[in-house]
Parts: sequence; structure tokens; C-alpha cells
Amino acid sequence: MLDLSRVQKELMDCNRDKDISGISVELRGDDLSRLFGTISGPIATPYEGGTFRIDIHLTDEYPFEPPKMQFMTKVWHPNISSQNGAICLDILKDQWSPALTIKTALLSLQALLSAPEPDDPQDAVVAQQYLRDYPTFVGTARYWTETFAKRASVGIEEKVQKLVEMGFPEDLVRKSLDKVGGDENMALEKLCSG
Amino acid sequence: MSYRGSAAATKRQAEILKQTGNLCFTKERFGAAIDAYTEAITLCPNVPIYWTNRALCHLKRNDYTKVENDCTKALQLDSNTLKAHYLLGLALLQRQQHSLGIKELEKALELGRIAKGYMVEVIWQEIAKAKYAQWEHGATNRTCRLQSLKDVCEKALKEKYLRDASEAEGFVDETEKVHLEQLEYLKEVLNKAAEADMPTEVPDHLCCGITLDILRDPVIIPSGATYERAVLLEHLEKVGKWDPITRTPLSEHQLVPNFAIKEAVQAFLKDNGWAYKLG
Repeated sequence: MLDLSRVQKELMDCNRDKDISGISVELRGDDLSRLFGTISGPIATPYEGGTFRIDIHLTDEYPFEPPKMQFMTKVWHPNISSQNGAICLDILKDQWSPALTIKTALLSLQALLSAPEPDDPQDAVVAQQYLRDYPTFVGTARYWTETFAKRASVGIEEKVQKLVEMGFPEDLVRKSLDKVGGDENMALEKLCSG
Repeated sequence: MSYRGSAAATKRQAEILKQTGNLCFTKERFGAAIDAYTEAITLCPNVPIYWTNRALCHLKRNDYTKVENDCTKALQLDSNTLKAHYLLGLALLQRQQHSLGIKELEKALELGRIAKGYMVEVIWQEIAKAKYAQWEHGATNRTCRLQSLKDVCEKALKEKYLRDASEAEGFVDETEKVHLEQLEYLKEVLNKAAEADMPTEVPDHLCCGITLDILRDPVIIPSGATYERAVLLEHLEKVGKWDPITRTPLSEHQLVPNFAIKEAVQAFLKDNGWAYKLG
């Protein structure tokens, strides 16, 4: 059984100081096991100024099992898949402890953005670039932040309205936006491709 | 020989009747279950479980006097019958005997902890519910009393002000200033008094680092951290035999009750009944 009382407390606690921490957690629906987190890109990194959304799924065994986390916002980073946002981080796997929380996990992700570990990569292509051609890596990471992580911070309602004005039905628009983590261009692509 | 044989037969017969009762109970045929248990009791009146099972049926039928009678009988036979304390507690709560009911439930909780956590979650929830209701009742009462005190005081101050103002010609401004100050101060004092019943946050040092909830049965481990016993045991079983923070090896026998924190929690709950609210 998922410890609902703990999850509720975590949500309250996390959102209390979100302006300072740059980290927030929200419900995806009524179900406390489906959440999404938001972290701001650390200053003095190619991710600065970006807002990154992370899909969070809590299993019934939480907090005795780690939360399942995945980037919804596309990000160029050696330890995050550029394809699907999968994350390579020990505390989300065998190094998880029930004394950790969703907030501490998101803080660790923020720290991971600051300090990539290319020797233990999730995305081999990115890791290779990081090690062999650092300036290009920084350029690409910054470009991805500009392209994907900044648009996502525009209010979701505005995006819904824009896409609806283009002639797509609202429920489909919302579903597509939700699937791609609120990215307007990707949602449009999805809507156009059928 | 024949006497012992028949005693054994009686026992067997009573056990069969108990099983019949249990079966009726699962089908929610409480009347038939009561009849079966009653027959079992007639055959073997010294078996506490026959009494507690019948008490549970009476509870289902909201027959609280009979629950009390059966539980009392079971406790006379064995004062450590967890279910008798539990059901008696529930019946007493239903009959508005809050303090006595809570006392019985607390006894049941203590027995449950001795029995390796048997029924403790259910019992704790009933206690928390009762304590919260008790606090809510008291708090509503106190709020009403404060409000009526406020009304009376304001009225008296106003009368005093009108009298003073009519007597102190030429110093009306000063009289009014004093009057307003007194009203303001009265409000401050009463707000301060009302604060005691305002739900706030349970301090972190009284909460478990895993449940994030107020500690009920706190245990301290070698690293100095304190956790809820049941949850730490779950961690040791499901995640691994190590300290959740330092990750050094940890085994069940290293858990030590933390009486100081337990007392601190009890003191806090005594003054802050709202903290019994279940998540």
C-alpha cells in the first residue's frame, strides 16, 4: 500500500519553499501515485534559465521502493536519455533509501544537471561529446534548454488556447500536451501526425 | 477416565459451536452466531474467545451493554485479552464514556505491541479518532466561551466609556483613545488564548523520518536517529539491513525504544489534540 499520508505531507513540504528551492511537485490527476515535478536549471550551467518537468510515478511499495522518474522536458545531458528522458542516477535505483523523499530526489537531479557523470552514462552519444568536444556539448545543451525548457514554462492554458485556435479539439490538445510534457511544438507535431 | 473423556468431548463440542458461530459471522448472520457462541459458553464458560466473539456480534448489532458484559466476563477470565479491551473500548466510546473507552483501547494497544504489532494499526486509528473528537469537542466549547467573554467584556467597556465620556467634559478625545486601546488589547489577549486550539505543524523532531508522521512507537538506532518501529522493521525486511541514512549495517535487535521521545510526543499530543487528525 502506497503511504498516502506521507505523499501528502511531502507535497505540502515541497511546495512550501518552492520559490527558494526552485523545485515543485504537482498532482497529475486525483491519483497520488502520478505526479510531476519541476526543477529549475542550475545557474552557471548550460541548463540555466530552463524549467525541466519530470514525470514521477510512485509504486505501491513507495517509500520502500524509489520513485520512478523520467524527464518530460527534452534535455541534453550525459546521464539523461536524449530520446526518452530516462535517468541514470544511483539513488533512483539501488541506492534509494526510504529516508529520502521526492524533494531530495529532485534536488539530486538538479545536482546532476550541475555535475554530469560521463563515466556512468545513460546516453552514450551525449557522453562521448561531453568528453571529446566539451564546447560543442555546452552549445548543444544550451540550445536544447532554449528550445525545449523555456517554452515549457509558458502557461499551459495559453498553449491549449493556441492549439485549439489552430483547429484541434481541446481534449486531444490537452492529451497531446500532457504526453510530451507541455512542449507546444512537440504537441503540434503529434497532433499533425494524427 | 470416563469423566475426562466427557470433558474432552464437551470441549470439542464447544469448539465446533465456535466454528459454526464464526461461519455465521462471516455471512453476517449475527443472531445465529450469537446463539452458537452462547451454546459454546454454556458448555465451556471459561474460554475468553467465546465471550469476545459474542461481544463482536453484539457490537455489530449496536448492543453496547451486552458488548460490555461479555468483555468484562472475558477480562475476568484473562485480564490480558486484547480483543476484550478493544471491543470494550469501542462500546464505551459509543456510550459517550470517552476517557474510559480510550483507556481500554490504550491497554489493547499495549498488548498488541507486546504481541509483535498485532492489530496495532487498527487500534491506534480508533484511539486517534476518539482523541481527535475529544479535542474537537473541547475546542468548540472553548471557542464559544471565549466569544461570549469577548461580547460581555466589550459591552462592559463600552458602558464604561459612555459613562466616562459623559462625566469628563472636555477630555472626550483622551477617553476615547483609552477606550480604543482597551478594545484593541482585549482582542489581542483573546486571540492569544484562542491560539492554543489552532492546528499548526507537528515539530520535525517528533516525527519519523520515513512516515513523516508523529511518532507512536519510537525506536532509536545506533546512529542516533529515531524512527517508527513498524516502519523501520518494514525497511529492514523490504529494502535491506542497513541504517536508512548512514547505510551502515543494522539489524532488528539494535532497535531500542526511545522513551524520551515517546514522552515528548505524549506531552505534545496532550496540549495539541488536533495532531491526532488522521492523514
